[in-house]
Amino acid sequence: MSQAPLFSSAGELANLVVTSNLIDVAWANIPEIQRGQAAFPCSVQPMVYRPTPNRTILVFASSPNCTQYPLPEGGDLVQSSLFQFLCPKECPSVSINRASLDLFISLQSQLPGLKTELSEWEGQLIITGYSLGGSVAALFTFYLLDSMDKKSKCRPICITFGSPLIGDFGLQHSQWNSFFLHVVSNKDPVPGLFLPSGRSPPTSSHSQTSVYKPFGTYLLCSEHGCACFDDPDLILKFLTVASSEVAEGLQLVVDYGEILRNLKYRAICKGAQLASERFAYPFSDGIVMELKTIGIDPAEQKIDTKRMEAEARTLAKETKASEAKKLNDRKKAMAQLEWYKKKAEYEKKGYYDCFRNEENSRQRNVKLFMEELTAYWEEMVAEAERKPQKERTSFRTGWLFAGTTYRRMVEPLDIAEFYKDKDSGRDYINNKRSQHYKLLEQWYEEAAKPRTREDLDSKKKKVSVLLTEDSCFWAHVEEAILSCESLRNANSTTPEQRESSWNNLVRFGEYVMKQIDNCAVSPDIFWSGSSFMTWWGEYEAYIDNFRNFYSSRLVEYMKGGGYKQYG
Amino acid sequence: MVVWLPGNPQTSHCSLPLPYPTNYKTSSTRPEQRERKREKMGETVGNRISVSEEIINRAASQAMRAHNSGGRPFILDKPRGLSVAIFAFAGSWLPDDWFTHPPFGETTMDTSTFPSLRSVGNDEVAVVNASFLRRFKAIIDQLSLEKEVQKVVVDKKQVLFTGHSWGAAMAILATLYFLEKGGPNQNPPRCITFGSPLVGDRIFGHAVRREKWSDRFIHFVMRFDIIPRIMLCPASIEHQQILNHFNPRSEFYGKPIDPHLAFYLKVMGSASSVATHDACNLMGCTNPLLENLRNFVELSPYRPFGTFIFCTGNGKLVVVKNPNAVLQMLFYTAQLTQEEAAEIAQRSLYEHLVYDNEVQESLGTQNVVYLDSLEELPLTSDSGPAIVNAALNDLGLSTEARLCLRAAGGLENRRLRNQAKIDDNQQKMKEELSKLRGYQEKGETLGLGYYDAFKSQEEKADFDANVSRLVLAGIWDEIIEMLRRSELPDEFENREELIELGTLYRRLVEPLDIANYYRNLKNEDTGTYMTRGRPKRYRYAQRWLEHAEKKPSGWRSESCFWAEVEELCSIKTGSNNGPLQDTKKQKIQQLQKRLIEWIHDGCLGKDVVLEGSTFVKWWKTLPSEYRSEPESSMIANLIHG
Repeated sequence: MSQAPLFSSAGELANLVVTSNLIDVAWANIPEIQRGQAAFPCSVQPMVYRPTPNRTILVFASSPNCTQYPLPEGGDLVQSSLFQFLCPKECPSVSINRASLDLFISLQSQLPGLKTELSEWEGQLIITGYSLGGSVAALFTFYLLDSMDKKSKCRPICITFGSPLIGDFGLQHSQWNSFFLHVVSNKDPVPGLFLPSGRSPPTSSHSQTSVYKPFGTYLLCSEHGCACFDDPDLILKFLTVASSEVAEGLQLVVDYGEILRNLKYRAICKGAQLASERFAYPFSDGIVMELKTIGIDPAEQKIDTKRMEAEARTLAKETKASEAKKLNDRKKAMAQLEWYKKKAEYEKKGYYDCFRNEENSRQRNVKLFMEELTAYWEEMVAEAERKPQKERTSFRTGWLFAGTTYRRMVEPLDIAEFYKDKDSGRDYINNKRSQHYKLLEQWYEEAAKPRTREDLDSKKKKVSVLLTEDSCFWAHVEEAILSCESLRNANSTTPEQRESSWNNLVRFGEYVMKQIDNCAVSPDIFWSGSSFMTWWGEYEAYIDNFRNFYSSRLVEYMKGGGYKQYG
Repeated sequence: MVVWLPGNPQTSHCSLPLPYPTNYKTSSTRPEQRERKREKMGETVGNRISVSEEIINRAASQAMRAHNSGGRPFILDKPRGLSVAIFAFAGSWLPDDWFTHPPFGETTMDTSTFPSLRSVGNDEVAVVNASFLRRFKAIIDQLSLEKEVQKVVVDKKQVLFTGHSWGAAMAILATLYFLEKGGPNQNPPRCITFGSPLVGDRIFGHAVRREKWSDRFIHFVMRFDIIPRIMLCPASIEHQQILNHFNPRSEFYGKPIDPHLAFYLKVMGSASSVATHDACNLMGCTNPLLENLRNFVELSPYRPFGTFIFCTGNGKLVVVKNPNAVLQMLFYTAQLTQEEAAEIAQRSLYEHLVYDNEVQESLGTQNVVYLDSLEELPLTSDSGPAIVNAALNDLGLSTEARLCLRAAGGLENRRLRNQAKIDDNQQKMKEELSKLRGYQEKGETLGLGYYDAFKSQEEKADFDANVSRLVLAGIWDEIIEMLRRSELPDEFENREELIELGTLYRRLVEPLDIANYYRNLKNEDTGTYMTRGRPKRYRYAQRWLEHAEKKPSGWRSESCFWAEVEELCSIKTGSNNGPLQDTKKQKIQQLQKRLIEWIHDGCLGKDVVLEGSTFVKWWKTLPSEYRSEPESSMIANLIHG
């Protein structure tokens, strides 16, 4: 089948932004505040407006001095522990422009209060600023986003006007790209100020400046029109061209209000009717047209439209519809695992121990399904983590429950593999447990409703078909077995080690009893030959011999044979 | 109140002097050229939309007359020699008749009067302009319209509703009203509008297309006419100015609007937001900002539907059916050029009042272009078929605009490809269904119903059935996901074949999903199957059938029989006569009644009443006060024989 045609919507998105009034609202108060600020010293002040009942605007107003001479000595990048939370997996650290960071830090006394107030706000929140004010606005937006949970009803957007770049590669990979819109005119030298080929002032460590990277979406404007791009290379080229083409002279102030008025008018004016030009590829030729509008010559600037097209095509392929199918395909693998469990039960073997002790084709098959499932869920969880705006808030219930069943089914097998291999060492939970299990468990806990007494009663009747709820149950059992061993081998262990092992066992006993009370374990743990029963045998022998007077609820329960009635 | 008015196509649309220059008419085609063009074009508009040019002209003049008919809601015209009765609706310029409340004056459709105007599977009700709906219902309440339509139907004449401007909105609702009421043997009504404002939202149009009514609606729109765009803009001072300009009772009637450009910029700015927003979606925009923008940008809900015929203003007609393309054209054809801004703004008012002459002239020349294969549209002003290009140039469509039209065509083609892909899957679906049918039958012969067998998952066959269930779930979930994302043709849910297959699937496989749900005790942590666990694929399939049979929601819930049994089993049968017991009693008696109906209709299998089934075991434990005759003995008979 021929490939579906692709389009570049950079111009459309830009016109939507321009004609929707959103940026007018963001810009509205800036000129006035700007005039009200004292010229010196260079400073930034947050100001809150509430023009309508469901809209708050937070303006970071920078003093005129600050706007026109954006701290020439502050162009280097510094690492900051304040923004360490932005670090993506791909990148160990995040560095921030010194000038912006200093201004941000100078507001330390006001910001925490502001953050608390705004994260409880239910409605639209527009965070904005001009030049360095915009940089601080962006930093504050990160700071706010980090503290907001998914239940928050506050819907923020950060809109900056002519702001210099504020950070490196680390920012670019932030999961919050959808919250940032940077408006930049090709007549404005400031945004490209810190770029090496731009009109960069001497800085203390010039070499560092080359790593500045844009993040979020840029509304790139010229007097002929505008386009929205989030491709970093393209944005950098635009900024470089803008800052090198603008004549020297630091007094220049760009009036974004005027630019927006012009763009708004442009948006409803008829565009060019291209004639006799080859226009065979809607995507690449469309981009060329858009680039020309914003004053960039794609050939001269060596813009790789083919690469952009390839990237757009990859993104377009990932449709939601096939995700539903993928989830169902994984359910097929789950059915296979379930069948394996069932067959193990016919042989009166627990699912966990069957897998732990077996080495045959059946077990190897199960491993294949496990791998398939793990790969899928790791990706799903990572995806949900990456896109807070869309997915995580709506990590749909169906998926969460499918994920929970997966975790309860597959994690025990991971645990079995871990403890089967004698070289793995100890403590699966802290040393080996995969992040995606932790997150799946955490999200499930957040979503689950508290249980009632009645639920428990009906659960008791049906406990035989349940999966053990705590997917790490077997890891606790394995650790308990190791603790027993350490107690038994009194010769090779220190008294402190034995003491700690004993404490572990006491805690384990309490833990198991709680699981039993809640009907949270599958009855197969009590089948003879199971790891749990092996542990019990050793533990019972130990207390009979060495701790004759020790008792606990679990010990009574097991000795009294109460477990035979479980399930 | 019905008035007989002798037809007079020469009647001028506007008897009052308006301050428009007369040189706007730029039609340059001479009669001999017209003849030549008609030959070249082949198909005439009349043929294409199956209404004769004579009737269209007649409708245009009646619509313009009715607009000023003052006081009467509509006029009826039965031209001699034509087998048609034209109902033309009067107009209104009162602000209240256009917008009830800011910003967009919309309301959800009244589904008792317009039951089809919703999406079936997604179950969203269409949105309509509240003023239009309110005024239309007032007309219906007067009963004269219904009586007159009835007479025309008896005379075996074609009913044609028409209207100009506000009257067009009435004509649209009237057409839908009678389409909804129409019997199977009745010739469905038609609708031709001139300069109509937009009436309903995306779902409104979707429902009309799904019901295959789209071809009944023809909308003529002048290239610059402001009224077809006015609903894209939130209620404002500018609105008021525009309405006053047209309102003969206003002191501003016919006066230039001051400032002369602001109203046009306002409407077009909003139109641009709507058009570019939709274009981003059509073009598959992946920028994450778009998602966030939706939290901040308030867009008009109104969207076009039906066949649009754009009049270029120089005697040409451009016919477009794709609703996304029409929306783009509503914006792009009226874009300004900087030099002529003032002139265009004035023209946007003037053109609203010249439909009768313009349509008559254009139909005479038959210089028509049909924009059917949008994906092949020429992108530059001198490529592709000359005749298409000439028309696009006359409408002032820039390369940017043409890209949007291509994207609109691309979406429609993608939807068709998706549908074809689903059709390819049908064989696979049928195979899996027949495997499961075999599983069900085998259970019956062994005396253990497939519901109970599946729930216990003892045999290899149960495992295999589970795999089949999952294969089918994958295919159906993909379909549902596509529907949710509007990635399938509008008519998709109205395809008999699909409804049938969906029903078959639902009746056979849903019991397995219920068994699986209760087997894994999902009711414990999630809630009952019916409230929390029922997959969308079954909800959708049930709604398709109910909609096709025009039955109320919940009527076709037989495939949920087992879920009801499971829930009733889990409520304790205590001795106290609390309200819980009363509801339970009612539910049980209701279930018994419906069980008999369903088994007789053949939509529920006999396996339900096998001796060892969960249902029979439970039913036998019911105390006598829960049973009622004759149902009880009928069920006993079913069980034993």
